[in-house]
Amino acid sequence: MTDRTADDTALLRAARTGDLDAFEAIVRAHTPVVYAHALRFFGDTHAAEDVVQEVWIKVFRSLSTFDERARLSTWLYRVTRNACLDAVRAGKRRPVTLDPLDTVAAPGDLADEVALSASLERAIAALPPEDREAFSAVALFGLTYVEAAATLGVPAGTVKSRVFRARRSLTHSLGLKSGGA
Amino acid sequence: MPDIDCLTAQGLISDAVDRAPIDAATLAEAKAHCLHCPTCSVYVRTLLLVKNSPLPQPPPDLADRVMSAVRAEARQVEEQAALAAHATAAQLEVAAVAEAACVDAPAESGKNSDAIGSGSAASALRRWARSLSRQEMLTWSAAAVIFVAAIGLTAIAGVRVLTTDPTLTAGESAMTAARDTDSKSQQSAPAAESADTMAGIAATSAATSEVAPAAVTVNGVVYILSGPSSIATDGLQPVGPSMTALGTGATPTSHAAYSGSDPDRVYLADEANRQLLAFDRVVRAYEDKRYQLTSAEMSAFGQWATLPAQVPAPTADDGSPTFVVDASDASRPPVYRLASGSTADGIAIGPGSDPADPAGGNPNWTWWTPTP
Repeated sequence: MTDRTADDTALLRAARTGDLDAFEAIVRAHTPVVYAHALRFFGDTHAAEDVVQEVWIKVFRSLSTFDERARLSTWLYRVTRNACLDAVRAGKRRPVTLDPLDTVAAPGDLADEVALSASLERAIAALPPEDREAFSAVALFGLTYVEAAATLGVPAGTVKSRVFRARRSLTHSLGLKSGGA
Repeated sequence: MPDIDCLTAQGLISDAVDRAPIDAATLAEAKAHCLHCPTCSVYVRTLLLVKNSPLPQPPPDLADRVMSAVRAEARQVEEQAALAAHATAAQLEVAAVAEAACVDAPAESGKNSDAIGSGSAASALRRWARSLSRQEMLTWSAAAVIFVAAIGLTAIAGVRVLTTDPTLTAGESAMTAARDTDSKSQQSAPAAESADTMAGIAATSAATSEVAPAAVTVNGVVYILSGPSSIATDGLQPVGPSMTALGTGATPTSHAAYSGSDPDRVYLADEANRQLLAFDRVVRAYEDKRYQLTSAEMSAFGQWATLPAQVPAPTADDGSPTFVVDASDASRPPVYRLASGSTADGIAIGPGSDPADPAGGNPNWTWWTPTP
């Protein structure tokens, strides 16, 4: 994930004064990450789009309470995670349930980039929820282990273990061959 | 091949990708291992693939739809602010007219002492008003404004009583309203949701603190506002009252708090806006245990958590005599425990922690107890 901290800080400051163009710039820059998290959580594009809408409305409403010294990505991850969990709790949506065995790529499946991306997304969606959450926080939103630990309410060592476990699972699922492209 | 096993090498590479601090020599050893080990080279290639793979792309118009909803929300907030400003201006105008009458009065005040009762009631009232001092006039003007406002609020409350099931408590009424709204308008624009409370939150936050989060205490535990919730209320259980003004700036009142299946989340009924607000427990991890932030009562949004009454405030910057350092390293703020106890009782964090810390830059000492 690109480090946008400096840009984010300036844009957030402007957005807090009512500059909607600045807020739109934030939305456009970070929507792919929020969408990817939601899509991997629900495995459904409509649910992911709903979550994206809800997340940005919540962020907009809470702009005045955001501490400028904190990182936007940390806040955004927390809001996105809660929005997904809320949708499940409310019974509106169900999280994705894939059998990890179904996601092991067959030889030749990874012939092109599209197939590879699709395989990767399926493999990520099939990770155990706690591993996927930690992986998303660190690898997608760019949180440090400590930041992710604070949001997830587990020790930093646990986050680190979960991210590592997720990567090993993905290695197994994608089934790349040694020395290949 | 260097003397390092596959699991260790892969773990180190994973840490390096996540920018965790690693000794350079150790990392070089791990890289050298991965260069020659077929299993680990596949692992590294997978990491690179995952890192560089494009994210699933949202529909091209999704950001436009988001911004349409945001702009609608902004317009609604502006309209409400304009209405509030108009009402305030009207009140100020009443006060200014009264004050002007008072300023005109001194020249005539001496003539008015025996005039009451000789004219109409209206003129008598005017004369009485002129006879008042400037201070008295302002006081009476303020009382009049409050009286009119009270009548308005009573009328609104009366209408609500007439339109609400009398068997419901205020909290249940708000929860029922939230449920009704949810079932009727799952597709409604988010802009229609809770603008009043959010505007209040923003105003309160701006008035009291730039950085303190919107939070409440329930049974002494701190919960931070997540936002309005449309959760089904059937399975919610009452967990205790919370004395708070929320973000309204009014006098704190007792709000019923409820919990569902998530032990880290409570819901408060926002009766004024007939909705549920979700709040999340503030937690931190230490030595494989979870601790929750506790505080003396936080009676409105925008207040920082403080030490609960049973924990005496330290008198020195090093936490003494109440606390002693239990652990300290560069990656986190020092963790304190009671000088006369253990971390099983709880842990303390000093003032001014990093904003990214769960204490969120709180300028006060904070007290964290093990989660149930």
